[in-house]
Amino acid sequence: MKNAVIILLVFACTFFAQKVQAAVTDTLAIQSLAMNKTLKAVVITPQSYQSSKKNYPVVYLLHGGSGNYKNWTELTPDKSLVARMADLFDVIIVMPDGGTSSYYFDSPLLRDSQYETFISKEVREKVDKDYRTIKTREGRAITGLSMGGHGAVYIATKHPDLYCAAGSMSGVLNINPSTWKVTPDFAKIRIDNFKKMIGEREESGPFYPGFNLITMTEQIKAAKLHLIFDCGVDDFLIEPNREMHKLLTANGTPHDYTERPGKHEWPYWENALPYHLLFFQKVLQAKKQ
Amino acid sequence: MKKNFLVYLIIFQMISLMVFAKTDTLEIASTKMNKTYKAAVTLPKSYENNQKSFPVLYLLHGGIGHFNDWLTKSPDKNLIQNLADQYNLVIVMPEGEVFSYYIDSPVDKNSQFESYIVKDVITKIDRTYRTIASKNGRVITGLSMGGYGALYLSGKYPELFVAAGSMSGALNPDLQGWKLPKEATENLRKAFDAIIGSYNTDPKGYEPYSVIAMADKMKTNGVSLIFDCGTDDFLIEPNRELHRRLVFNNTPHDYSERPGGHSWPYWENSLYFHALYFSKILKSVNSGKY
Repeated sequence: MKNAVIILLVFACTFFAQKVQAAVTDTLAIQSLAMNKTLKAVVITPQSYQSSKKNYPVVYLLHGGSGNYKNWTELTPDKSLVARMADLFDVIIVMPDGGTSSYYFDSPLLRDSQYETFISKEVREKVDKDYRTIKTREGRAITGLSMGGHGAVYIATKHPDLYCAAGSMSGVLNINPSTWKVTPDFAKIRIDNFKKMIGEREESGPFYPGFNLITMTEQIKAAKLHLIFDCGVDDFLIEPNREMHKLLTANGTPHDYTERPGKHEWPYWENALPYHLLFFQKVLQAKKQ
Repeated sequence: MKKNFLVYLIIFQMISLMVFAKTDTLEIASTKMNKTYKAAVTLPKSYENNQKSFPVLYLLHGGIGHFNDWLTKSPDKNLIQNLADQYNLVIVMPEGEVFSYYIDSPVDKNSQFESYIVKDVITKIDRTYRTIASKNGRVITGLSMGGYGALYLSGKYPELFVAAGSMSGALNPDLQGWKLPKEATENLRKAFDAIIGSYNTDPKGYEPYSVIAMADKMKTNGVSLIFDCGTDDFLIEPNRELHRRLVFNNTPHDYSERPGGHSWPYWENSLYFHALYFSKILKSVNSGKY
């Protein structure tokens, strides 16, 4: 009799445990052959993942400058934001490390700054190997904030065979710091950084064509991505975002563009992320059917 | 065996639809127009199972439309029920007739839909359902003429709504910036003349009816705002103008431009974003209460 009660209790506990089971957060160490170093990524699988056998779409979520792979799970005002989003939209969310000022480029000069290859190949292959993912472009979306907004659209534009959708929140859509509302000192730090990564440039020409999304609007159009980007009206990057919206409207590239209250900070990105996931869910779902 | 399974599945689906889908059609009388109009009310699944009060989304239809447009014309016929369920909202779709613009017409006493919505409809809804019967429990949005209506009514009665939205809103009855062929413009001019009065005789008389001209009022109102328009829509320029004015006078608002024209696929997609926006605001102002 006593045994029966215990068994019942165990059953009840298991049942309850299943009920409250939520998104699972893993931290992966991912080896980069391109950079000859090992970097980390946080991967969140949704609640349903454990008990199902299906393959899941993956949303890659990139951090900003001076950031790292833990930013999206540690710096949002609501620390459970990304896990809640994974559950709500039933997707795997991957937050890889992108270095502090790599701009997600494959640097022609710095061997240890090959982040386009890292994100689009090395992280993707590891995630597709370790998780039940939809391993086609229809199963992948990529977005990010600031440097990561630039990175997401840049990588998806260069690899439209790998991603069907891309997003940018407060993105550095023009990497020329003279278009940002910042101090000359900060602009100089960034200009020196681009020089170190990409090389000297001709003063008169466009600012690093081929690395700078504002010079790549025809390529963005040709990539046929589902595209969403936004910026706070008090952000120092609002003008480059407006400029990108204007150029993409003029050349007929379908995209969602939003301006909201707010500036370059976490409350803005916490608010923006659910809209990106809603946008991706509609696209990823439409592709599934 | 397979066939049996299918039959069971269909029966199960039908039962679950009967159990969960809940849209009432109410008769709501207008005190000013001495007439009764219909409204559709979709309740969330969760409404039956508890005693809580629910926030209400008032969802307005467009010109040449009627109260049931949102239920019958969106490509996904479950759109409204799904959003009601997902966000635990009561969604009310009242009648606004084919060309009322949701104003109390100064020239046509049979077109008094401003009073109808803000008095008759809201009172009836709050009496009939378990609603959060205050500003913090009400949001309003709509498409085209209904987008105008939502911004106009919330702009004039900020004490009634905590947030308002507009999709492809027809924001200015003076027709400035509407990209339409000459004949369509002339027909619209006549239609507006019939509810606001002759534009050519008294263009100043149109000012109180322009939502764009309400930008400063919106700033002091503090009602949370979201609006959007398709880049191929004939109403894109007036929407850009309202956005410009609200940026200029520092009124917080969400403004989006998306692919698309003046069409149901656009509005179906847009409503998801409005519902997400409203749910965030309703959560923040009603913390713990819903």
